[in-house]
Amino acid sequence: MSGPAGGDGTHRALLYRDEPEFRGTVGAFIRQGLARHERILATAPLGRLDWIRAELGADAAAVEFADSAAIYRRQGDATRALVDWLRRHASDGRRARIVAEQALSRRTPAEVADYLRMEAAANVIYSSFPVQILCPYDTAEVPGDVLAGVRRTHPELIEGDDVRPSGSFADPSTFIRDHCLVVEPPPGAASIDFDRGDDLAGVRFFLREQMRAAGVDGEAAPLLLAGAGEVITNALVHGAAPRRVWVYTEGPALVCHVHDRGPGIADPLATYLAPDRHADRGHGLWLGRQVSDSLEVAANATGTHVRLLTILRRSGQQPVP
Amino acid sequence: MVSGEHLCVLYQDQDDRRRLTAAVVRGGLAAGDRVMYVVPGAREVALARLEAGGIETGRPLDGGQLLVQSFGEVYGDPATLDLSGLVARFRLALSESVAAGFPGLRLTGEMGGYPWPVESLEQLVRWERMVSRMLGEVGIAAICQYDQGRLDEPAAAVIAAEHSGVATSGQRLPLALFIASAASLALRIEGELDLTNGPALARVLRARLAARPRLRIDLGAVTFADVGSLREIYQIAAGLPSGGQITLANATEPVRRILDLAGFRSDAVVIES
Repeated sequence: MSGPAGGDGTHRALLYRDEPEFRGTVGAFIRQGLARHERILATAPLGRLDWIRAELGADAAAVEFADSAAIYRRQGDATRALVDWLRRHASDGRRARIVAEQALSRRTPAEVADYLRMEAAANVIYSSFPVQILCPYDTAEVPGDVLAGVRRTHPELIEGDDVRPSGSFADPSTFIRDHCLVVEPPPGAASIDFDRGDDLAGVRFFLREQMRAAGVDGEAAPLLLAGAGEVITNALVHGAAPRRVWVYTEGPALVCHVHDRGPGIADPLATYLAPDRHADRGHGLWLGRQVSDSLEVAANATGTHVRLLTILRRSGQQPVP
Repeated sequence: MVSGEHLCVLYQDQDDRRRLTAAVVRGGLAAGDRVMYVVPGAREVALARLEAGGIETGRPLDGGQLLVQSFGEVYGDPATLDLSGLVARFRLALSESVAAGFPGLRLTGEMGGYPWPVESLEQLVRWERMVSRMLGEVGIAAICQYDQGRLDEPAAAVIAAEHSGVATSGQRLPLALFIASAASLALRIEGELDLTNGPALARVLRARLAARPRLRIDLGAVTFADVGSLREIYQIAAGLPSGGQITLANATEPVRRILDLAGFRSDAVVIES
């Protein structure tokens, strides 16, 4: 395949128009894996999982099913869940297949953008595993601009009976950099400067106050504080003065926006990869990604901007199809 | 404070005295050091003074981290007046502290008026000079507390000159305290852990693990811990001899989640539910 080397895997998008197309391709993909004694995981909205079960009949017993609404609560959660699953099931010479679809219509634009960056990163994240990944997309439901992103983030596409390399596939690092642009904080947003370690306690006090005012409570507050704290510590350790953090709402999300004058992270792709468990760096932004609904890393002449978004409410959005 | 440092504080009144004494002891607990508090009068009065200054003395006393002793208990009765005797005494006190798992020993004494055996400013200067040399030789830190109301200005200046600096109570509250527990050289952390007290955390952990390579850390009163601090714990655990282990106990739900999400794993770290 045209994806990265290492795990001998594939990462394909299935662009389907209807139930028969979905069932035909996904069913064949899974049956081929079962015939080769591969481990199979299918994560999708419940309605799609029902299609797969109906298609496979008795063969469905050999497939592990997971509701994508649970596994994809956050993009970071999903990556961790899939990597953990692969570590358990796709080692010791055993091969695996994953079918992964999630209901993008429930997502905010910032989350969909982060999802596509994650799909680009997937080409690297899963490249060390012997796994074939099939990502179905309902062309009737997924907007055209998102489908364009799908074509740029999947090395191979399946449309109808046609399997072909994606002509617009982009290098993952390039895609991520091009699809995360600097957003300026809104005028008048609450903010606080920080420039040394002794400022951190005051910054945490500010963040706690802002979260309380925005109604972030329960377990969410300390986790968001932890994620924001890592981004801020990163700016302190690796960034350059002046440094500032703003907190504001953007649609349904609370945004913690950290800026410093430094050039930023050389390869933003790195922030999508789980750090090696023995690594002495990289755990901070990884945690930030796990506890937020979207983590954006962008840089321009003004410096580095990291935005950590948390969805406060999901009202007014369309139900899962 | 650094080991060997000899500071003095001059208090104006009883409020000031409470504040300064508490700040000195709190500084020791924030470093995880053993604090030897030399008091001229009744132990109960000294402890009440610390409590009034906001120090919870129960745990540090139980864990052997706070020692409240009379001048005679510390310096001998009659007091050692030769340097080598004083050095021998404090070398022993320091080695006992290290064996008990403390990274350092701090000494703070109330010099309310001139203490016995000192009867004149001249003798006091000789005494302080000898203490300075002892501190430097043994490698421990001390803060002497003086009642400014009982010293005239020239005397205060002479005393200040005998110390390497004058401490003030204007420091902000430390982010976290590292409190020793008596049981199995355990450790209780109270407060927040971030990159500013990461070095203190590492110093305390190394000292306690050197005394006993199995350490139980009570995280029940940790209100914030950054990933770097938690990684420090895992990295130190990774360097333990075989059979060594760190148990993380009583962690709050957010701290447990962060430990899980950050992805640290080690056979030498046990998370106790």
